[in-house]
Amino acid sequence: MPCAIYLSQNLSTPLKSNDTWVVNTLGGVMGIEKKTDHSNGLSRRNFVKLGAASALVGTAAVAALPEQVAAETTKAASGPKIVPALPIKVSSDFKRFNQEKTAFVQAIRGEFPSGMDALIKVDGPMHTEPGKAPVVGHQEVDKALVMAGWAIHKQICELSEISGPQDSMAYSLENEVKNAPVKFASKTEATEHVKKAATFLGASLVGIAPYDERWTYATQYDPFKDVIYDVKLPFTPKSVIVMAFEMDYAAMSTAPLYVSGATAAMEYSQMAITGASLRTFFNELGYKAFATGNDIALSIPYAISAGLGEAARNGILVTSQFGPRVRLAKVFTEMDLNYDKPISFGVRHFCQDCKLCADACPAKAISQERLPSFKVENECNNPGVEKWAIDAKKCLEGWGKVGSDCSTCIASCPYNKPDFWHHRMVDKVNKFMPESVHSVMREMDKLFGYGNLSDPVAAKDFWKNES
Amino acid sequence: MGVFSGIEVLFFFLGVITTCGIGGIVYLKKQYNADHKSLLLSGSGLFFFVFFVAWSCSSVLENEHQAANMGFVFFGLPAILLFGIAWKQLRKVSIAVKQ
Repeated sequence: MPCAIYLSQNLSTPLKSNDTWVVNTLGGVMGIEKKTDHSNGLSRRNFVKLGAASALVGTAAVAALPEQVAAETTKAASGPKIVPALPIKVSSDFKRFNQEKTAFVQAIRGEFPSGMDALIKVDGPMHTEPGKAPVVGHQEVDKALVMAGWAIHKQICELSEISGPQDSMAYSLENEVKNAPVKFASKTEATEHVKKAATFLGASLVGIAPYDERWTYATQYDPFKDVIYDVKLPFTPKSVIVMAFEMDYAAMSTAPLYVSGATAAMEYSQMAITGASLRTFFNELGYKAFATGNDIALSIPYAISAGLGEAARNGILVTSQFGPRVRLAKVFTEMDLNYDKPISFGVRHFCQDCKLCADACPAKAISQERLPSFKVENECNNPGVEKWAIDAKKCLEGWGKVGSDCSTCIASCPYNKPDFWHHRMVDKVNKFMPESVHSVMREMDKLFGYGNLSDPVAAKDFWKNES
Repeated sequence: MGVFSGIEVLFFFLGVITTCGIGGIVYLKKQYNADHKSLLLSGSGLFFFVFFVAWSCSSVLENEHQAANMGFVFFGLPAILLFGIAWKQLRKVSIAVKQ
């Protein structure tokens, strides 16, 4: 018997009276073989019969699974598929959201003081506890990288990330259209050109959804004028180009250290650059258009509608390519384009049993409920949508605790993986697994070392120059 | 590696390993008259070995060293086990043929 088998024996198990051990040499590999006398026990033939009987019983048990479980398993196993309508229940009494109810706006308006304290701690000068050296990933150089990431965003659309300034260079609603509209041979051709332009200009993923007034904010807060105003669009858009921007995996692996905030900041700047550039592309073609980041309308419903991904437990979009490691921007246009369909690849099903993000959240702001519901946590959630509502106030207070813009729910998510073949394979296998296996897969994810938080090694690795 | 990315180099060598492995199994069949059981065990061992190399090298490329180590535990060790059992089976068959 080869050594590997010998090593796998449980040596603490006492020998039975009918066991004998013999030294066996095979091909130069020496091992010890246990010979068991089965004269009074289970013979090899009976063992095979027992195995066959067990297999039959197992098959029968699987066949007799409750219909609902089987249906759920099939639902998960059906793989990435296009679904005809928005795969989220929206109640008939759903009302457009008032953006000033977000935790951020409440914080900057003084209605949520602990939220403001958290924002000051995150955005203000670096704070180190006296007598303590800052940990790797939370030092001056990391903070400098965060500020560098925000640099362009601050120049062309400051504060649009948390509020709704009425006019900014990148996200201005009024844009001049000088030329007569260019006619394309077909909608398909126009759609192809728009998608190519979006990816060329910097988007990682692009999808197109029809305009849906429900997702436009009813009111919005302008932090520069300190007013709440009704959101009025300059024209009725026909199409919404939704773009996802991949955040850097190595940087996100350091969450909640500063470096993870740097990749978020960097992509906010990229959102503004690409959004403004794509808006200009439409304007040059003779079509009205305007770009938005987090302002004007909700991004996630549009992203789902445009087939970019699914809504997850952590309250953010999970894409099939980058998981939750994306930021979203939108360009509204009057151009008539082909719309993408929503997709489903088992995220909501997996989220039911995973809960890694909820466990990892330092503020315990993510729901531990198994199933999504219409329940809301506070006024920061818009009622009328079936989801796992997050407690946005706790979330913002959590930023204050960790001293950065956190991102632990992104870093800990099992869908947050680099775009490597083996992760795509696991995603595909995952769809064939019943709910009971999802908990095992969640533990395997941890066992394999993914989703570590506040990891100074990840921060050191990030700063290694590999060029 | 110049113009080739790490993953491209990896898949090239996976091709080399798979080709050599299949060649080895064919050699065992022809040279030692290996029976179906030992061929099946060798083939399964080869599959696990190729998978282990692919998984662990990919994990190193994405800078996830713990995942690379776990790749050895979950795929590398079963490969060694299967090769060992296959070798034992082959010895048994070749001794029987000699007798």
